[in-house]
Amino acid sequence: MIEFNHVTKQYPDGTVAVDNLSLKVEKGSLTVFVGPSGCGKTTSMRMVNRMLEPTLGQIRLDGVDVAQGSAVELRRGIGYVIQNVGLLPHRTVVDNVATVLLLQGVHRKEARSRALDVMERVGLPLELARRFPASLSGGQEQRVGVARALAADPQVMLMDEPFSAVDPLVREELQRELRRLQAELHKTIIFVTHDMDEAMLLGDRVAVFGGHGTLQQYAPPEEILARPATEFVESLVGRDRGYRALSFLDAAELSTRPAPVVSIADSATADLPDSGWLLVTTQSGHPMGWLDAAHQRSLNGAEPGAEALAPLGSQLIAGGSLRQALDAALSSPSGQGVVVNSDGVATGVIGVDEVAARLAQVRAAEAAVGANR
Amino acid sequence: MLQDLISFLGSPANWSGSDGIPLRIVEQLWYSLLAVAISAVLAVPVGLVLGHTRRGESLVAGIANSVRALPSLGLMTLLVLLLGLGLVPPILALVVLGIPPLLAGSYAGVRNVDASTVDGARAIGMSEFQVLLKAEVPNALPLIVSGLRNASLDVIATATIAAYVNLGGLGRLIFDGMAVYDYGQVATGAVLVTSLALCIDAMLAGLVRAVQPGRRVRGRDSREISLLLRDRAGDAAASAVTSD
Repeated sequence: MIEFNHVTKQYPDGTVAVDNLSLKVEKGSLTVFVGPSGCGKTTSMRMVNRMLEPTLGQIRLDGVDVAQGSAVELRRGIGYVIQNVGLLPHRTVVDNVATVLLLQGVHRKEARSRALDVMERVGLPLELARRFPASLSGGQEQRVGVARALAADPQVMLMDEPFSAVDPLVREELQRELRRLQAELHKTIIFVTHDMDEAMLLGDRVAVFGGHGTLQQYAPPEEILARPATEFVESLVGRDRGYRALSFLDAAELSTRPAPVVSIADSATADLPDSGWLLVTTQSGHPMGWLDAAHQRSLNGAEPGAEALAPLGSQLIAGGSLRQALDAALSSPSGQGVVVNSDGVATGVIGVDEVAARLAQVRAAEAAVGANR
Repeated sequence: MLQDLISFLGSPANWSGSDGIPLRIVEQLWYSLLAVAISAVLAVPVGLVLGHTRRGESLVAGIANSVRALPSLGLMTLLVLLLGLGLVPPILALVVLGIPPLLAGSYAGVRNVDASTVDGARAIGMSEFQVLLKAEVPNALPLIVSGLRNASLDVIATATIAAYVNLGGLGRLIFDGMAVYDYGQVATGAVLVTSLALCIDAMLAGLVRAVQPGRRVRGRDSREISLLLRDRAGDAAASAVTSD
């Protein structure tokens, strides 16, 4: 458990970066510090491993004041991941991952062997072991950063905007990966970001920081969306708030309709359904795109190329949220969002109506629970 | 002139004895080595520490520029007047010449290491000394060696002046040749000094490339990593067999 007790950080020029911060991060939970730049979120995090020292107040790690003992020893026991990764350019990937173990005095061979274990755990191909950081992609580099932080199996991890420098696709993948890892490892994590979506997605609890390092609200993400404590929080989550709240609702209960699928080989001659759109798939059932009447006519019986198909839009992958379901429906040219199973095979379609109906059910259930109280 | 040069170089008498060309080259290299080594011992630690603390930029620039402006021949003559003849005045003058590039190189080398690399190294629990030794110096090596290269080029070329105060080295050929109007000898001295400086420069240029961080894995490390990977693949295969 990490406890901030009335922590203030004031710089010599008088700037107050963190103002009387008190909060607790429960053992095994992931807490996100979110807020605009200059709000003191990174400063607060860096005081935990004494990269910065508080001006006033105390930070306790499992009940022990971090200011006791040596900062270097403290840091070796805390995993640390930063935005620019900060790997050692002159060391191989495996030796970068092994760095903390080597600092702790683990024998080199043993340290490397454990580093390879951790690389596997975070999904890094072992062929990368003898490469140097400069030859890695952004996503790989960030995974190496996470592996380095995990290598010595610390109970506490600090992550400073670790995914903000990678492109959106890779970022989503890394976020999924972090959730998977956290479900396995139950570390106590402080994760700093300026991205509200990321905060809502990853945090067990979210601490929203306002100007001059004042804590505005500290609550689970659902609560922050449903009941923002201050105007500042409301303005931060305000835009797309209703839409974001859909992220916390499971799409599993959504009733899907059978998809108007046709395999690519038959697509030129198949009859169009009433909706006027056919979902063209590969032989194995993986969706490729939508075909409408005009394009089907222009095929003259030949198999359609990529240019004849309208793009799929986003897809709802089994296990996704209502937000993904709604986005799938909205982004599909046919108005029907494609639902796929974990193998990517189309299993059905949903429309905005189904999402709205499901949402009404959820509301009714909540109202019933409220009435019973 | 060219003929004088060739005939001087071609005369076997000039290639042996206590005033032969080989001995002169060795003397030149010896003075240079001595001077560069002392410069490095003085300048590199200071440059590294200033670079690590990220302070003293103006101090480094100030020292480098003002010292660079000192004429070596004048300085050496002054030192001879103060200290008398001997090895010390020319070596001191050369040390003063060698310090600025080494100081600037080691300072800039450490200062220019990516800030997030240093921050990361500190944050995962390296002590300040370890940050310098394990994170900064290995990545500063190209610039440190570049400083060494510049210092060596300057010092080897300038070590010629040692002959002005009755010492050896290739300067002997130049000063002695001047005294007796033997321009073949003078030209030989000049050509040899230049060639020697360029040879050493080329070798150090190679060294600069060799110390680029992350170029290739050392043989021993590579073997050890291969072994670990092979063990792992073996284990995986073995467990696949047993689980079948």
